[in-house]
Amino acid sequence: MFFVDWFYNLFLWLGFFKKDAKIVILGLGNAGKTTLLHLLVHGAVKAHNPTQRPHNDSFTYGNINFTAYDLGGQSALRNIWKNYTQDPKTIILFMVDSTDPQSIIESKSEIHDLLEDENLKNSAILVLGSKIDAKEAIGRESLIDQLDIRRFGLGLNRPDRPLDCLMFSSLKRVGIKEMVDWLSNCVDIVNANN
Amino acid sequence: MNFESSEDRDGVRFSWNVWPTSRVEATKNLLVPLGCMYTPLHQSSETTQVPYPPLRCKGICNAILNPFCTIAPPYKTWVCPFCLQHNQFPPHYAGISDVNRPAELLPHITTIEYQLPTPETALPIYLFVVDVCLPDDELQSLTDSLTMSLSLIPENSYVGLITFGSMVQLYELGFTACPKSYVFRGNPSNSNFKISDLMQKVFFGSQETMNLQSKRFLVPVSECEFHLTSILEEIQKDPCRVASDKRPLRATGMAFSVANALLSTIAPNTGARIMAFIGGAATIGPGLIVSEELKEPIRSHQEIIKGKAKYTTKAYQFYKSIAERSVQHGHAIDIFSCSLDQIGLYEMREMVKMTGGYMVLADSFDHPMFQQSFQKIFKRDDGALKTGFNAEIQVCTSMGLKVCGAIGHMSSRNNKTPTVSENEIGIGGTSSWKVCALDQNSTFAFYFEISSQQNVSEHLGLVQFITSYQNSLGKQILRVTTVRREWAQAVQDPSQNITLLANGFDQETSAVLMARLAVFKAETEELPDITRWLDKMLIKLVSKYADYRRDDPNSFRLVQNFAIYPHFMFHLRRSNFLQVFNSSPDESSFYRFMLNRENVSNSLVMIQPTLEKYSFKGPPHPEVLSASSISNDSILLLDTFFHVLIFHGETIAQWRKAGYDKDPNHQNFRDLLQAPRDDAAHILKERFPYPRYIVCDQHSGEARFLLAIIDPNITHVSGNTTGGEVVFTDDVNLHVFLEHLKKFAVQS
Repeated sequence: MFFVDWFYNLFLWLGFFKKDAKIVILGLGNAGKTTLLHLLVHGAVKAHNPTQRPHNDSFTYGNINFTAYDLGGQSALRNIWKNYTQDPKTIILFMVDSTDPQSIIESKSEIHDLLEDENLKNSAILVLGSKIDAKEAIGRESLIDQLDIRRFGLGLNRPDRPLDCLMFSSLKRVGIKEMVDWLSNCVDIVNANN
Repeated sequence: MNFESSEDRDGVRFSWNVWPTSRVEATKNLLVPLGCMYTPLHQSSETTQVPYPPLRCKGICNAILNPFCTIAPPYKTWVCPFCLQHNQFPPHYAGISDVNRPAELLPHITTIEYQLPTPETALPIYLFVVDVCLPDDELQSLTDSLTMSLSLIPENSYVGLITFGSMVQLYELGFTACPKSYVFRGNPSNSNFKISDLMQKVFFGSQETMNLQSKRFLVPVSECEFHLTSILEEIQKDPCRVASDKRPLRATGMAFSVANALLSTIAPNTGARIMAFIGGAATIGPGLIVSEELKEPIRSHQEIIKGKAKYTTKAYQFYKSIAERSVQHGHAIDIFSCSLDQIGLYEMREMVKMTGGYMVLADSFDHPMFQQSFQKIFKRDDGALKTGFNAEIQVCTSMGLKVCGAIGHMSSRNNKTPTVSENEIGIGGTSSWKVCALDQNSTFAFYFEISSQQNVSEHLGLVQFITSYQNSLGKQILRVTTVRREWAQAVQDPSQNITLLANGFDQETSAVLMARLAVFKAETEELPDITRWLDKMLIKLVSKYADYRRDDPNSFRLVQNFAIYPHFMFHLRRSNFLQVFNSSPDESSFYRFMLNRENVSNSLVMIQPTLEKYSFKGPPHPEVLSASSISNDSILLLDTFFHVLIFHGETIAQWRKAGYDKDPNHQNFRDLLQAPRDDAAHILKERFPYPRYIVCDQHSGEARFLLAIIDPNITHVSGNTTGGEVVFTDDVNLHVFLEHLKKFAVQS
């Protein structure tokens, strides 16, 4: 077996086996979803219109080819989120504007809806606090408390699903690498579980 | 030069209003294509209508008698300025003299409408194709809108009804005892099966002739309004149960097939529109764009570019074949796409583009973007709908000028006359095009070339547009517009020719013609290549027409009628027409569709939106579309054509939240808040389709509609020193773009 694994890893390293992973980015309006996707795909920050209809783009990190779906976050658009989370292998990113107390309250109920959804009981969920470059931004611990998710226990290797919370800034490019590393590790766990 | 006067009178605007006299000159100097934007049904108080048929030239040009024809005493003949053919006047034209001329020969009547004495045809037909896989409340809103429209459709017009879900139902409106319909499988087992053959066999037997008079499926509104209303009231949601991990089964393709077959069997060559109301993706039968499984997402731009969109090519071909059959019979197709996700507009677009139909993209059937747009289609001015059906546009060009093609919602008639250029631009290789439906806004771009090797300035430079159409009262109309432009022929000093050309440059029309060309290229070429092409063309143009010293960017000056052309190009490169990130293929198709439909001024609003500023510091005034125009103490009104947005600066928003506008002492403030609303209401009233209307405050999420579109001259990198709003972007701003342009333009 050792040889088989060794060869497999060699091929991976050579880029022969690219793994595919699917992500869906959810979150309230103006959380920074489209900005993050644009940064991941094109390496630059840009001002975007509020997203009206779902769209996707892909980026490669290591040997993983990520396809990310960016969905609109305004309240009327949230009805179609469920159409994009059907595949249990899809990793859900839930983005929260860490500078906007009102939206954190609203996000909390959306996140708890996701966590309690029977259909998504094995789906990996990563909560992302955005815009930490701004002075109004709150820290990770504070966000975890305000969203009331500490009680679920956070981490990649939880029994039912990976669940965690990370902070980042698209503008300052802070926390992006940690986020993509988390996603890469998550892909293996998700593939093993399903 | 005043380019608008020609537009007011004739609905025509050219990119170059003075033409080079030979092919060599043209290749060297026309760095924007020679072309024009023509609005055939442009409403002008000056349009003359005459009740007799026109005189046509007997020569190969087939042009129509016009004010530029040469006539001389004794006024027995006229010389066609297009082919120089001598034509006899018929006897009833006797009596022409210098002071007594028929309308079509009067110098100022360059646009004229002939009412042809052909028998009146049936009034336009409206065939509703209704999606029933909708949530109950949306289905209710939709049927309410349809019922309402029955009172707006001219009462002698024929209507028909098809509904679709997992099956397609064709209603027999002529059978009034109870609702009766024929049901078609959404997923026919035999792909070669011909609906029209089936209709022939089943419905009509072999004896009965099929035409409108039989009044079975298409019935005049006045005779079926009550029955149709009751059918609409009772339309039920598709009975097929939809599991939570599945999409509803929608046989959209089959519904279009049935509609197309019905109309081409019963009403060939009669003005008609198929109006399709669609609330979700086609998932079954021919033309499906995604499977029923939600696990499989709808295709995106990325997948289409990489050729990984599984159903797209096949669906596109399928809908295109329906489009071609519709064009053959003169039937337009409208699509009302009302859904938060895609329905497959990208695949269906040719049906609307090739036939000149309407395309509306809204969030739902109870949204004003749908309801208001739909009502507007039936809005009448002075009793008649200002729409044309089953039309054909023919273009004649004078000696030395050839037509390269057209871009707009039309289809080629493959009429390759000697005036057609080998050099195709847009839909080329023909001098006439079919347009199944058009209205007062429908505008077509035509591209020309100077084909003569020698100097052609001895002939007049002319273009004639001949549009025949059926109006909403069933009358046949022929509208003829003949326009003349001067040659760049400086008598004294040939080196002045270039100045003459430059003076005739219309930067607004040029920008729109380039935008249409760019969007046309986007059908087949990759977007970065198109952007590079635009840049290259722009650099060539300005280095030809700007004043500068070689290698000295600081000496660079553009004359007034070139000055804002680079700004248009800057905004065009950034626009939704050429950037697809954050858009679905359906949205891109819609945006591009609208650019190909509107006239110069509306297209410019789409390319470079307008911004109006309201404050206590002075009367409302237009502002530059840039981050520095935003201030705390003012209100902005943004019009992007697709969105109309009122933006309250931070201070204004605070005052409003504090209720100052309700305080009787602050009438001024109340007026200030009201002014942009009134102006917005005016835009909303005129605009089709009805735009997204947003009222928002600075720093709110919806303010992004403004921040995404303005020139980001203040960013998080540059810092904010002068007031205005910081835009978080790494994008290049207008200033940097212009500096680069200057640098490249002056390079030797």
